[in-house]
This record gives sequence, C-alpha cells and structure tokens, in this order.
Amino acid sequence: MALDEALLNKLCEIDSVSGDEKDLSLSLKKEYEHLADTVIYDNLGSIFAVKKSKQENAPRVMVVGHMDEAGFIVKKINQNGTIKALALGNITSNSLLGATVKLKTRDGEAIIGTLLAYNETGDVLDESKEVLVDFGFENRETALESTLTYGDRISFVSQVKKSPSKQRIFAKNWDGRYAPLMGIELLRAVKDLEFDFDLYVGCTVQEQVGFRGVQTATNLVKPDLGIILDTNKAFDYQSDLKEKNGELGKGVLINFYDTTVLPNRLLLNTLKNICKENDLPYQYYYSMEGSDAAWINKLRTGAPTLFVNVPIRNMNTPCSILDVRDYQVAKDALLLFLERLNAEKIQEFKEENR
Amino acid sequence: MTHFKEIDLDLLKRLSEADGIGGMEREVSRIVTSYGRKYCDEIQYDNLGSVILKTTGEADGPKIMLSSHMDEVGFMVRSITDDGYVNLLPVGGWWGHVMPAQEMTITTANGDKIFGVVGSRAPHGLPAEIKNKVIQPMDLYLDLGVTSIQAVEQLGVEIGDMITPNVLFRELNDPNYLMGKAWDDRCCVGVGLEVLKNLSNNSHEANVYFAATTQEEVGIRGARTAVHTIKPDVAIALDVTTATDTPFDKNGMNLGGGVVLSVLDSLTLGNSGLVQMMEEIVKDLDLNVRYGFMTVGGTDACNIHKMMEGVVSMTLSIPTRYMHSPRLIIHKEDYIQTIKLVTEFCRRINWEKLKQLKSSIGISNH
Repeated sequence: MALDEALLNKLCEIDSVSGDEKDLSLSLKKEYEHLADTVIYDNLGSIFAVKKSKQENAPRVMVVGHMDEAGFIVKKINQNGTIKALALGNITSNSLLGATVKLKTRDGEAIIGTLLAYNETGDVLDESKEVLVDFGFENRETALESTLTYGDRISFVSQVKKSPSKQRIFAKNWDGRYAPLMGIELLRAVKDLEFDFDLYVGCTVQEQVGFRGVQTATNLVKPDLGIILDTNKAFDYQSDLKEKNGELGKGVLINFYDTTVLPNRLLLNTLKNICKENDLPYQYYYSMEGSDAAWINKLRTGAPTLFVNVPIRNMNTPCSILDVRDYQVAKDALLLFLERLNAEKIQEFKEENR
Repeated sequence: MTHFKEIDLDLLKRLSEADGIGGMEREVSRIVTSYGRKYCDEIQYDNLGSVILKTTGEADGPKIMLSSHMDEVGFMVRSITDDGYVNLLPVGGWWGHVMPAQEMTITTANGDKIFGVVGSRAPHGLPAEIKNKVIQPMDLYLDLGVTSIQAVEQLGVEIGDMITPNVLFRELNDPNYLMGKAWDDRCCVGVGLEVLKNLSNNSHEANVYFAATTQEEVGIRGARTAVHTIKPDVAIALDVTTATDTPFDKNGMNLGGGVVLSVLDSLTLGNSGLVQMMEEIVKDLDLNVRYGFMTVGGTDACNIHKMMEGVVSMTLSIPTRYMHSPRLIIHKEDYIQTIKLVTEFCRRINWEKLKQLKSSIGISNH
C-alpha cells in the first residue's frame, strides 16, 4: 500500500470542522514530536513540525495544507426538537438529504443524527447556507436537556473504505486529511536527511471558511518557499464535461492556474521535470476556485509557491474518492523535489519572474 | 520651472508591444531595468517579480512609492485539442465581444512567438439567438493554422503559456492619439520611467521608489509585495481610467483633457491632503485637471493604502478608450501632463509636507 492505512484511518476518524480542529491537532502533535526538532503554533491553531538546518540563517521552506473539513455549526434549536445548523465550507448541496451526521458536544460526546429536507421539494441547504438536522429530539425541551449546545460542530460520519482493487479510497474528508497524512509521511521519509533550509511541515486551520489559518501561519513561519498540499475537484467522469480536468489515477496535478494564485513557472517546470525523469505520471490542472496558496504567495514580500495536489471526486460530500496511485506519485514527487532543493535554488525560484 | 525632457515615444512603443500577463511580466520588467538603470541608484525586486527603481533624495526625505502595474490582460493556453486548436483561459477581465477574429501571440517557455487568430463564426444562416449572444471567452479558441496537437507541441507551445494580442503601436491620424495594446497599465510604466529621467536632473529631497508591479489584473498582488519591500511614507498609484468621449459613451472624461486626480475608486479613498497638494501643483504648472470617481475597478492603491500601518495614498489616472481590448487609445497630452505633475510632486515632498498630508486626516504630534 502506498500509504499508511492505520494512520489514515486514525486521522479520518477524528472530526475537524473549521474552528474545531483541536482533536486532530493534538493527534498530529504526537506524531510530529518524534519526527521534528520542535512543534510550533500560530494563534488560530495551525501547527507545524520544524526540522532545523545546521546552517545559520537558513531559508525557510513551508510544506502545508489545511486540516479542517467541511461541516456544520449549531445555530438554533427549534420548538419541534430539530436543529438549525449553518454550513461551514462549500458543501455540495446535492449530497445532503439523509446523510448521517455526528454532533460533538463540549465534553466530546457524540450524538448521531441525519439531515432533513426543509421543504416538500426535498431541498436541504437553504439560501442562508443552513440545514435542518434531526437528532431524534421530540421537542425543544428535550434537546435543551441534552448536552448539545450552540456552537457545537456537526460533521459527516466517516468510515474509510477501499475499492476491491484497493486503488481507490473512500473517505468523507479527503479535503482536510490529504495534507495531515502526507505531512507525517513526509516527515518520516526525511527524518534522517539534512537540508540547508529549515523545513516547516504542518497543517492550517479554517481553510473552508476563507483561507484564514494560512495567513496567520505564513506570518508565523515567514517562508522563503511555500509548498501547498491540497485536493482539487476531479472533472473526469461527468456526462456534460467539455474537457477533462483532473483525472483520477492519472497522477499528480501540475496546477497552472487558480483564481487566487498564478504559478511560479520555474517551480512548476521543476516539478514537471522531476515527474518526467522518474516516470511519475502528471497532469495539468486549472482551478476556477481560490486556495491557501494565495496567501503564502502574496503576504509580506511574497514567496514562490508550488502545489503538490491530487484530484478527488465528490469533494465536500459525505464520501469523497481518492486514487492511491495519485497519492503515491505526489509523495514521490514531493520527496524528490525536497531532496534536490537547496538555498541556491530557492533564490532562483524567487528570481524567476525578473 | 525646470526644463522637462521630451517624452520618448519609442519607450512607449516598446512597453506597449512587450508581452506580459500576470505572473509573466519579465519582458516588461527588463525594459524597465534597461531603460531606468541610468536614472536610478538602486534596483530591487520583491519575490513576485515587481521591480523597484530607487533614486536617493538629497536630504534623506520621506519615501515616495510610485506604482504602475506591468501586467496586461491576456490568456493562458488552457488545453490543446487533438486537431490542433488552442483553448483559452482568460487571465484578467475579458469580454467575448472584443475577441473573435483578433490576432494573438503565444509566448513559449523559451520566448518564441507563435502567431494565431481567435476563431469566429460566419454570419451566414446563423439563427438570431446565436447572432445576438456574446461568445464567452472560455468558449473561444486560437487557430494556429495547424492540424494536430503534435504540430502545436512541435512549435514549443505548452499548457500554461501566455497569450496576448498581436498589435503594433501606432500614432493615429492626429499623432497625439496613440493606439496600442496594454496601455492598461504600460503607459503609466512609461510615466514612472519618464519621471525618474526628469528627476535625474532635478533636485529632490525625498527618496523616490518607482515600483513596476506584477499581477494587478488578477487581484492587485504585486502591489502588496512591493509595498512591503519599500515600506513607503507616501504612495501614488498610476493607472488608466475609462475615457467617456466616444459615440458609445459621452460623459466628459475626454482624451487630451489633462491630468486626472482620482478622488476615489471602488476600494480606495484618496488622502485629501494629497489631492489638495496635486491641485496646487496643477495650478503652479498651468496644467488641466479633471477628477476621477471610478466606482467600478481599482488600482494598486487599493492594497497599498491599507498595508502595514497604512500608507498616505492616492491614484493619478490617464484616460484610455477601449480598456481590456486588444487596441486601446490614449492621448499624448494626458501622458505629458501626468509626467510633469508627478515629477513636481516628487520634488516638493519633504518631511514638512508629509506632516501636512497626515494632518489632513487628523494625525497630529508627528
């Protein structure tokens, strides 16, 4: 298997709806402690394992992706015992009716429920991005007597599953677990390597609600080079596609455009050439959405930023799909990239557009 | 008044004809450094490619940032079809109306220029509902006159390559009217360089930093990184505004009417002390003035004024016709007057003046 399944299962079972990433962060800390010199945080909860170079004043490389997942937050308790909750993140509305959800109380207790339609047509997500949840309470009073309270996060219920070929893995939160998993596997792989740059590997919070943690994380780390680990929507099977963009099983994505960041072409070509030379499949990808990369790229005096992303189907639904081969290629390419990286090259990337 | 040097039309031609969309402004920044080198003391860069030319003041006065963006609106190669057509990905705001049948240039990774034409439809027999609809930029493609994806690849064309209009600079029938692509914002890159040229034989107390910035059209990104590199006390964004003097649109912003003081745009309110100071200079130099209120669209000032602890800022504009199309028209008089205004502004700024600008918004004890 191209990835540590036990670790994946462990990470995917933890819920981390935006603003409530603590349980995942604690779990990451335990892993990071064995693999890094120090563990640091920004003040929103983003976490980094730091692997120091022996060089003084070494440049800083930040390998990062978000650890929050799409979910909901309790907003109102209705007279009939149903709960109004606000969606956090861009949840795909077609996936919701009847979805099993789990509320996490302040004490860490789990309450299982399901999403209702709010009208006879069967719509679930309304114009204010709110949903109606049935946890089985028969009226408001019994709901209030329970341990549930305003602000509790509600997540989809996950059980990681594999396809018979074992090449595809189903999980609710690939968008939010790809980076935590890859980060740990990366730290394990480079544990005994020495770099002439300081390596910061970590996870940010609150991506789903507007790329927030990456801003504070960037100001914390002050990177000279940023590498984003994230998932992109696959457009590879839909019947009304004009062109394919992000095909499962076709390799790591070479992201040449998104609406908030333009690539550093030298970085992009370096990744592409690493793939070519090592027979690692790669595919071009453009995204009509924004990304965490934007802020690494444009905060302070700017930093060259590279994506090492993979495509997934059904992003932000109760069940998303990743191809293990894409993950493996992304991991191999990322490792090769870091092994070949040095202070001089970081400077070249900075000077690319001059 | 000190003598102002004649403007350099060849510089404008070179700036207009250089190809550079967001993230790929290198051709432009190399013109900026080669032309500006002899008029500045130091060349700096930020990490997105903005280039900053510094000329040191005689009295170590305040830092002035002049900001003009180098990127133009254009496209990237989005994909290549099996039969050799190149699909476009707009980078910056485009309207399908100004694209079909236009000549375009693809710039390959090693700088080769590949010529093509945007596809269009013959009107013969087209149903009215198609005729009356604007084609979306994402649905348009470039025809390179080849028959296969292999032929396109042999030309060196790759996904992500830059595509820009293929348009030559020209003086129109009245040579005051200058037509070219990319006046948004290359004419203001010209202003910055001409100002440095003028300052090189004029005395000034302030340290003047001319920043030719990147990625304005995609979200005003280079101005952010440049302002953190400079950390200025006062900033002037130089950008184009929409002229309104054609049969489409008569609203008083005429080409040739002089400088434009931008009181506000969609994301910035100009510092009122700066606007007043510009008015004084306009009077002293006998320039013509209009006021700009561009409630749609912004300039580098949008990000400059609110970075760090804030920067005293405003925008000066040059009107252009046909913005975000392959052919824009500006007027020499507006260009020359803007150069004169900015040069004199740079000469007059000192610590005392800066104090006045800050007091105009209530900042005292400074």
